[in-house]
Amino acid sequence: MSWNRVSVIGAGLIHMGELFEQSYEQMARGAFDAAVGSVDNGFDPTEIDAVFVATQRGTLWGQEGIGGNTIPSAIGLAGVACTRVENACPTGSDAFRVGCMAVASGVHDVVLVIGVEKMRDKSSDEGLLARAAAGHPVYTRGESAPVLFAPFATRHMHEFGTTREMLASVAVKNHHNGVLDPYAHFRNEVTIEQVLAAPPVCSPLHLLDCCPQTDGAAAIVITSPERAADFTDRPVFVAGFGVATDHPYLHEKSTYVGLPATVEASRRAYEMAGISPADVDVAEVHDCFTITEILDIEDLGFVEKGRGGIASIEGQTALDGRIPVNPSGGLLAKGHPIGATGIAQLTECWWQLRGQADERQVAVRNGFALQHNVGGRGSGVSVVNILTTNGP
Amino acid sequence: MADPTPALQGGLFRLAPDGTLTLVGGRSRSSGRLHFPLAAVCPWTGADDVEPSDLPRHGRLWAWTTVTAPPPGYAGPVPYGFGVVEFDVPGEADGEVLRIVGRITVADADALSAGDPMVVVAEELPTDDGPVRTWAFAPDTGGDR
Repeated sequence: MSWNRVSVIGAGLIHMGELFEQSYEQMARGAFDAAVGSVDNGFDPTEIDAVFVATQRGTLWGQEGIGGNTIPSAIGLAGVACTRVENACPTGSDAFRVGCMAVASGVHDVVLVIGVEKMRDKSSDEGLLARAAAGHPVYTRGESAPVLFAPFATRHMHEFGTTREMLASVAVKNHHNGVLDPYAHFRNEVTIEQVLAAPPVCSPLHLLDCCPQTDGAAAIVITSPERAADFTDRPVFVAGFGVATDHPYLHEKSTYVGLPATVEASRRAYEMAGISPADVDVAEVHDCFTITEILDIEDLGFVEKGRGGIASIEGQTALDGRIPVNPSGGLLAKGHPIGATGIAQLTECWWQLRGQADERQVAVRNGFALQHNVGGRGSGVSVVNILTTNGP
Repeated sequence: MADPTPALQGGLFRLAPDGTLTLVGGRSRSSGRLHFPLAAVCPWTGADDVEPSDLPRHGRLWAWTTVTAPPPGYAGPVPYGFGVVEFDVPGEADGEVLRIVGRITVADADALSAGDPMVVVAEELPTDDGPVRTWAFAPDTGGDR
C-alpha cells in the first residue's frame, strides 16, 4: 500500500536554456505562473501557506547568501512562510520531499515547492568549475565532475564490456526525447557517430556524454488528498520517497560500477510505496553524464547490474521501450539547472501519469512514475520520489 | 634537503629526503580500519580514536581517465591522467582494500589496463598560483622510486 498522504495538484516549468535576460526572481515567477495555471479547477495562489525554495548555489550568479526569501514577493505572496532547501544535485527533489512532510504533518495546508537556478551568469571558469572543489582536502587541483565520473565509466567498461557506443546511445535517446519536449534546452537529434566524434572531455566521456549548464525554474503545488479534491478530479499522489547518503570520498567507495546512495534511497522509496522496480511505468533519472544513466537504471533495479549499457543500446529505455527513462530529454538534453532539475523531473512524471506528455507520452500501465537525483561529493546523496495515480 | 615546492595541502603525505612520497591516512584503534585522508574520526564508525598511519606505496590500477578539458586553476600539461589505484591494506580483514584517487603519470588511457601495478610518486603540479607538490601514481616497473 502506497503512502499517498500528499497530492500534487499543479506543476510547471519554464523553457530551459541560457536565460541571461531573466533574473532569478523572473525565472521563479515564470515557473510559479505555469504551476498555478495548470491546476484543473483553477486556484487562488493565496491558498499557499508555505513555500520551499530549491536553489543549490547562489554563488553561480554572485549571491553568496541567497536565502530564498526574495521569492515570495516576486510571486505575489509576500509574507508567506518560506524556507530554502539545499541538498547538492538532489536539491529540488529533496525540497519536494520536505514539502511533502510539511503537508503530511498537518502543519501546512497548501505548499509550493519551487526550484530556481542560474548557472550561466558567470563563466564556467569563474562559477561551477572554480568552486566545485573549493575547500576539499584532496580534490583541489585538476578535478571536475566529469573527471570524477569518468573512472566509473572506465571501470564499467572493464567489468561488463560496456562500450562507448552504449554510452552514446543514452545521449542519442535523450536528445531525441528533448526534440519532443518544448521546455528542453537542446532540441536537436544527435547520432551515435556524432557522440563518438565529439571533442573529448575526459576519456571515455566526450562532450555529448555530458549535460550542459542550464538556467531554469520549475514549480509544483501539493496539498492533502482531501484538499486536492477541491482542485482536481485527476489527482496524483505521492506514493513514497527515500533519501540516502554515502561516504563523501571516492576513496571509501565500495564499488565503482554503481552508486550505493541511489540503491538505498530507492529501496526506501519502493518500500514506502509498497512496490517493486517492475511496477514503475516511467522514470526521470539523473543523467549528468551518459554513464550516470547506465548506473542509475541498474541501481534503481530496472535492469540487472552490468546490463545498463546493453539495455540502453537495445532501446529498452526508449519512449516505447520496456521501461522508458528520461522522456523529458533528461539532464543531457533538457538541462540541469540544479535546484530546478528535480522539480522539472517531477513535473514530467506528473504529465506522464496524467497522459499530458503529448508526443513523448509513454504507456502507463501500473500508474507509477519514479524521479531520481544523485550528487554531492563522491555522489554521496540521492533522493528518489515516486508518484502514482492509484488512490489511497 | 627540504622540498622547496609547497605541498598541495599539509598533512596529506610525507616526503623523504630521497624524494620518496608516502601518503598519510588514519587508522582507528577500535575499528582497525584505515582511511585517507586523515580524519578526526573513523569514517566507518565515528570513533575518535584515530591515529596517523602510513599507507602502502604499491597498488593496482582500478579505474582511470585521460583529461582533455582541465578545470580552472590547473596550469600543467594537457591531456593528463587521473584515476583510482587499489591498495591491499595490511592487517585488514581478507579482501579489504583502500582505493585512492589521484593524478596518473600516463596521459594515454589506451596505454593503461585494469590491474596494472602502480607506485605512489611525488609530482610537481603547475597551478595558476605556482607549482605545488602532490602525489601521483606511476606504472610500477619494479624499481622503487
